[in-house]
Amino acid sequence: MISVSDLTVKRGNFALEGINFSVEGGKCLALIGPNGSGKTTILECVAGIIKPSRGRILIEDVDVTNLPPEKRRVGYVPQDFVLFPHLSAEQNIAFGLKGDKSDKVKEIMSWFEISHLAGRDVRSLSGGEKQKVALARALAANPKVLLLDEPLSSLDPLSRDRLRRELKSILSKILTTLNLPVIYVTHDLSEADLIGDYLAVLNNGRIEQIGLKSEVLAEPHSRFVADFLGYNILEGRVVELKDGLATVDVKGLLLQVEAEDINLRKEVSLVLRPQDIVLSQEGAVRERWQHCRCNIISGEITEIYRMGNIAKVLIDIGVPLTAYVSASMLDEFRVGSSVFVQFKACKVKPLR
Amino acid sequence: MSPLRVLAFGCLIFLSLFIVAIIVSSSLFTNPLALASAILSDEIIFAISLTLSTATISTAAALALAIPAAYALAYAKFPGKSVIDTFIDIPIALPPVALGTALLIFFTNTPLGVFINNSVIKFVFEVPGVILAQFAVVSVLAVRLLKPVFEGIDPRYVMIARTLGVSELRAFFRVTLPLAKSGLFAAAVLTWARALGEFGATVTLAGATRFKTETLSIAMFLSLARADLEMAMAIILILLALTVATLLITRRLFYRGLAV
Repeated sequence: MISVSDLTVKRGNFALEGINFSVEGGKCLALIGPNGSGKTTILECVAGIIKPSRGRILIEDVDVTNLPPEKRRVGYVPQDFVLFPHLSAEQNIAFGLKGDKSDKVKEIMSWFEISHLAGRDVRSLSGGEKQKVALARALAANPKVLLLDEPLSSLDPLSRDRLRRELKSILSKILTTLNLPVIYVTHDLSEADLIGDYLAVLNNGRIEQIGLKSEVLAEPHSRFVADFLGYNILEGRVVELKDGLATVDVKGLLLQVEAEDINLRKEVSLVLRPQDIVLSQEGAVRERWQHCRCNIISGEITEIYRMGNIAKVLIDIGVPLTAYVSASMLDEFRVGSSVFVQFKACKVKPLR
Repeated sequence: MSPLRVLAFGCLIFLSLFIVAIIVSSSLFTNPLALASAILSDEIIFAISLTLSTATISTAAALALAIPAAYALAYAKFPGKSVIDTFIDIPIALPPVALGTALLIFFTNTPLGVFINNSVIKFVFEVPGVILAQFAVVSVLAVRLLKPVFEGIDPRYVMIARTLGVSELRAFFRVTLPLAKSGLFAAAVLTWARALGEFGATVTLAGATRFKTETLSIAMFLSLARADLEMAMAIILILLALTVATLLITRRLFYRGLAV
């Protein structure tokens, strides 16, 4: 288990302040946030590369805050892997080992299915091969915690898609077999969603929200988190409260919102996930939603972006709205065409 | 071709021809037989042997200090770093004869210098003086050459090595030095080449005594003083051969070393 409390770092104009989290063995915390939000700084503090100005880092109940990197037993895989170019793949993996290395190196190379790379010059390896060698090198040194800093960011988009799944399967194997806590830094939400058990969203040196991935994704606590996750944010005013249902006036649109802690005549920010919106050409309520309180609004499609199997559709309903639909449905929708937007009242969440 | 290109290529051709013309015309001055007998004379053989041995020792000593010093200048953050960085350039900017004079004054006119010269190692007008003079000139040059070599190595290599359980010192030997290998070798060759040709500081501190402190540069100075032009020409050709060999090696290695 790794536990970080009140971690504070000051570097020039940037400050990391009051970072708190803990990750138990066998779980992965995905640290996510925009560039410059402090994700890598947190990893470097845990690895001992940067000395924090305040705070404590415990790894398996040992206070490592003031220990040098070589005494911490941290497996660190940085961005672009930083393999030693003067050593072969096998020598890279053996680097942190003491005593008889050959058996252990063979074992770990076979575990990662890279035995065929043993004598290869690391500069000639593909992105995926480098990734495996870097992971094998970090794990060969028998770490107590594994730190991964944007391991897919230096790859081209095609390789990234393929290696994301491969990395997920490797990490699952690491988490279950070695029972290590893993901290995974990324700025890619889909990567964090695929790999993390917990999610921490960073903004300007602070953790905006941390929790189980499903909780953070379901209910962002701040405008920044909702915005970062790509959710719709609608500003309005509560005009009616009746039977646990609030009616919110959003620039003339009256939206039904299921929420308990919402006050009449108050300004409110509503969050609506793009994946909770259904588009249709008819304004009839979906059959499955017959028993739900539902919002149905007409609008016009302004832009469509294909993103693999899904498409991001921008709709003007008086306010701009983003929805995700299956790319196979794009035949039904065109830019400029009218569309009905449907979403359940319970899916509209007021920001706290 | 644009006027700028004509001017640039013209200057380049002029400089190249200037160097070639000096070398060719001076080598045509003497006949090959006289040149061969001068090269094989006892005095030249002594000068070659003294030059090679002293330059090798002074280069080794200079590198032993310059490698850690350059590493510190490249990576470490400490107060006064820019002042020290500038300070190190002083012996490079100073004429070697001034450096030799300062050393001579130190060993003959200061209590510590006189004590060292009389009781520890005799430098003034002796062979150790040749080595010290060369060392004084080339050690800072070695620092200057090595600093960019270390700066060219990503410090994250050392950081990763340390997270793998290796101490900073071991990481230096297992990662930094191997990565700097080409640059180090090229810097060593250039430093050695500069030591070979050292004259100003050497003649001031170690003097110009035949068959004693007579390096190739001093032998040339002495042969010119007695108007022995065959001997001077022989020395020029030897130094030229060494210089060409050195430049060829460094051109191949140094830029590769910087690009690690």
